Order: sequence, then C-alpha cells, then structure tokens
Amino acid sequence: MSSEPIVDVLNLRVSFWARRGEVKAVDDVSLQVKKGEIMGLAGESGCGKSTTGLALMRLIKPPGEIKDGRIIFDGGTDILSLSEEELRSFRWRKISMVFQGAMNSLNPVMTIGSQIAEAISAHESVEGKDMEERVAKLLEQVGVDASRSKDYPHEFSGGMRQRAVIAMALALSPELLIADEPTTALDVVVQRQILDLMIDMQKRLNLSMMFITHDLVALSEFSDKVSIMYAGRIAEVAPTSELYESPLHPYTQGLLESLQGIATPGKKLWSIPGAPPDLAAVPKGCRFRPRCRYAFDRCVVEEPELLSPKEGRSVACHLVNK
Amino acid sequence: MLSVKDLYVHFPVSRSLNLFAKKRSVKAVDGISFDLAKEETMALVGESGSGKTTTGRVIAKLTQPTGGSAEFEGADIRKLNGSELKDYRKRVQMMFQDPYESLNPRAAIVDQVGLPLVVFSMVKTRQEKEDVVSSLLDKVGLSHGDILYKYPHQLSGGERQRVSIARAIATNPELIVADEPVSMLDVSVRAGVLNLMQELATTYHLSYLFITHDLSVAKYMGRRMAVMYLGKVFELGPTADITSKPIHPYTQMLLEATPKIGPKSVGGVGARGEIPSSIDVPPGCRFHPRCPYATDICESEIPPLRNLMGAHSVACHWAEKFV
Repeated sequence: MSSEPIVDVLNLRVSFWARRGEVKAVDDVSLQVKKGEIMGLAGESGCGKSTTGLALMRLIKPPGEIKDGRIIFDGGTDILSLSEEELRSFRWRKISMVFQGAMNSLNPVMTIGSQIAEAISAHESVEGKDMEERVAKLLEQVGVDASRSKDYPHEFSGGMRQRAVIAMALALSPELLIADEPTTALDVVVQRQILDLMIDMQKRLNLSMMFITHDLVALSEFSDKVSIMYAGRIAEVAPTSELYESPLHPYTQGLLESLQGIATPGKKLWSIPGAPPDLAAVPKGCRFRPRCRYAFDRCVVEEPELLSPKEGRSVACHLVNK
Repeated sequence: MLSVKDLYVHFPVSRSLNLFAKKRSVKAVDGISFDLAKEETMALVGESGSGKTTTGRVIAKLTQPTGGSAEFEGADIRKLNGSELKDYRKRVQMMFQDPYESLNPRAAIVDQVGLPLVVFSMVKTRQEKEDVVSSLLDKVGLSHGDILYKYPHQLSGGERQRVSIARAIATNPELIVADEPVSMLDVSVRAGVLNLMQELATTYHLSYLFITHDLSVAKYMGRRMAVMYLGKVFELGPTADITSKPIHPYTQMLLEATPKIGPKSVGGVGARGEIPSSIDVPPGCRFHPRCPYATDICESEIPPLRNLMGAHSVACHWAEKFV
C-alpha cells in the first residue's frame, strides 16, 4: 500500500430537491481512499453513503445535484470538471461500481455472458473469439465456471449473480472499485463467500476499494480504514483496528456498544436514543446533538468540523477537539 | 404451552402442462418437532428458504399445515374455529419483519393499535380506546401524545416497529410470533427494540417464538434455539451451548460465516455452496452436498434429530464426532 491517494474528495455537497425542500444528502464531505487500500464507508440508512459513492461516478441524476466540491482522481483530474465525452472514457475504466441490489437488476432475457460482453464492447472493440475468451476469463476469475456464460440470470443462484455483477464491474480493469452494500441481500454463508472473493480480488489485482456498508462488524474484518457517516457528514475516520478499540465520536461509541452488547446476553443493550434527523431540516449545531449523551452548550450553536486530534485520526466532535 | 410434532407444510407447484407429470411441491417445512414452555423465548434460526417463517405462520394460524400437529395448551391449532379460534387469535399474536408494510398506511396510529381492542370488544367508547392506546404506546416507549393521530409515514422505522409491538401486546397475548422484527432496523435503533421486547416479556409473562437469520440476535434473545435448514431442524438446544460449541456441521458453517469484530480468523469448515431449492431436496441428509464431512450414509439415510446430551439435540449421523 502506498500513501498516495487514488481519490481525494474535497468538500463535496450533494442535494436532492424534494417537495419538502432541499435534502442535503451529502453536506460538506471530505474523504480519501489511498492506493491499494480498502476504505470502509459506514453509516445507517439515509446517511449519504450511497450518494457519496454515486457522486464519485458522477451518477447523480435530477432531482439530485452535485452542488459543490472537488473529486481529485490520482492526483490529477477533477472528476467533477470532466465533460460528458471525457466521462465516458473515464467511468468504468478508472472507477467502477457494484451497485446496491445490482444482482437483481440483471437483464432477464440476456445471457450472463452477453451482458458482460456488452459492458466491454461499450468501451473497447473486442469481437468474436477474443470476446468469448475475455468473458470466460472474467467469470473464472470470480469463481463461476466459464461454461455457464450461456445461462440466463434466473438459472444462477443469488451468490452467482452477485459474482457476475462483480465480474462486470472488473471487466475494464478499473483502479478504484466502489462496492455499495455488495453482500446485504445475501444469506450469511453466501455473504461470507462474496466477501472472501472481493478481498481476494482486491489483493490479486491490487485494487483500491471503497466499501460502502451499514455492517460495521463485517468491515472490522478486512478494511484498512473506516469512515463513519452520520446525517450527510463524516463523523469520524480512523484506521480499522484503532476505530474498534478506541472510537472517539459518541456516535461511533454508541454503535459499537450496541454491537458488542449483543454478544453478551443477559445485559441490557446500550442503544442510542432517537433517530437520525430529517436531512431537509438538520438541527443547528452538531447534527448528532439531540441523541448525544455528552452534548453541551457549544454543540447547540456550532457545527463541529472534522479535525485531527492525533496522527491518523479525524473526528468531528467538540468534546474531543477541545 | 406449545408443542409441534412432525409438522409438514408442502405447497403444490404446477409447472408442467403434462397431466401425467409427477406432482411436485415446495417442501417448506418437512417434518419438524419442538416444544415451547410458558414464558420462554425460543429463537428459530435459518437462512432464506429454511422454513422458519412458514413455521411461525403455522403457529399464528396464517398457514395451514399439510401434516403433523401443532398444539397450543393441548388444543390442535389446525382444528380451531369459531369462538375457539377467536380466543386463540387473542392469545397468540404475530409481528412482522417489515414495519413499512405491516402497518396500514391510511390508518392513524390510534386506529391501528386500537383495532384488536375493538375486534375483541375490550374497549367500548372512542375515549376509552384512546386512553388504552396511549398507555400501550407509553409501554413501548412512544410517550409523546401527538403520536396517536399520526400516520405510519410520519414515523421512523424504529417507531413503526414499536407501534407493531404495541399492537401485538394490545390483547394481552401469551405468545408472540416475531418474524425478523429487527432485521430492517439500523443498529442504533435495533438495540432499543430488542431491549423493549425483553422487558415486555418479563413484565407480561410473554413467550416469544423469535424468528431470525441473525445468530447474534438469536443468542441475545433466546434461551433456546432451533437451527433450521431446508425445512428441517438440524440442531436444537440451549443457545449458549449451540453458539459456544456448535455440533451440526451446518451450524458450524453458519457460526463461522457470521462476521465478528476484529480481523478474520482462518480455518474451519469453510463456506461451501448455497442452499438448494426446496422442490428438489437432496436425498439422505439434505445438507450432504455442502458438508465437508459427508460419507455414504449421509447420501442415503435421513439423520433423525436425536438427543445428544442434556437438552441438546442434533440431526447428524456423525454428531458424536463433533462433540
């Protein structure tokens, strides 16, 4: 792993225009994925983690809008300033994505092989025998027998469909892979298989990966670094082992307490009171304040910035960054 | 209190136009037995297609079994009708997985939670209904008064699931069949709902049949658990024993595959294959195609669920080997 960033997101803002007003899904987010690293982006439903992923791919569609920020790829290009033309040669080749629920959006009347081939031919002129070989190699790489390329999606099990989706995302050898909840709808054992596969691929291809998930437990097993999002903002960033040993943000602490408590039956579980705020009406000051057990007067008036109290750690909390 | 013996639920499938084709069926539940004592919580654990939800639906009398029996305090659930059935519905309630779908989007909370009260003539006037519903909502931690006339879309997932709980306890039931009640909730609210369910169990002397795919939730909630696979119970016993020392190779695989905090450990049975279709169930032990320890006998003979030690039962020909 080198220390150069493959992608550097700076002050990103993404909003959706709804009837009830502007929903600030991503509200001034800065984060970084280093080359060869697995960065876990974790948070609860509606915290803006998927929207962040989609913004990196420039796939925010109206009524959504990228309002502000820069996304610097590999120290050079700002993804947000690319023209549509430039974007076509950039997307999927440099950054690609495994979408949430993609395994259920495969085209049911097209064979798996031809769907992968289609993804390739949209960007490269590969034909006939060469294409067949390329598809076969991709399928083998994700643990699917190449002879199954003539099968339709319904002939594949859930796990195999997810493998096919991963093969598609890797078809043009991207440098950064964004995986949005790639194991969420799968059963435990299959989930384990897919996780093992993705980590193996990441190592073999020396991929950089942004792993978006709500599952902090799974993330603890394989990520290098974790960024915790809450209500459209980054609450905390830390190397994985440090985050789980000594979480700094009260939100992270609460999440981990709930998770660890469940492993010890008989004891009452710690739970964070309340629910995340409506992103169209975020409270003033710290957005976690209404649920925070340590909140004090400063938290009511001033939004905490993401600061670094010590080497390698960042946290947005007035209590820590005093 | 509840006794399930050799229960079968097969759903017929019509796929072929050939009149002479063999009739096929989905064997959702394929011969299972278990007991549930008063004030006990048992977790029914399994992956999708294991038959855990169907089992719960039979207990809640939402699905009719095709064989075997399920008795509630000596009375056969299958044969209940008329006033007996009405009484049963009052004593046994069900909670569903999806709080977004199990509440009527067009009814105010007071009417949703109040419905069972009206059906069972437990309240007479509108005012009485409002009072009882507010005290029920109070018990599930939804005490702000304005919630009575809110609609489901104005509530968060956790609040909705609390409303479902209030509705389920409205009739003072003895048993609640809870089908994945927290699987759609975020971690930060899940803990609160689990706590609440445990508190209510103690306060109201409730039993739960707690259906979940999540071993950690099962471990937290149930003193006993049953692990299901393709319509059969593979392992049954005290939760603490099963989660600390799983005996059935499938339970071993399941536990091993469940993520834990910290770097991943290596070794073990590994994660092999996927759950097959419950139409074409493998012969012999239905887990044998995925089992790393399978031998000839596993391919031909169905292993019965047998008692190994104490209250711990396992359906594996080679169970002793793993003790």
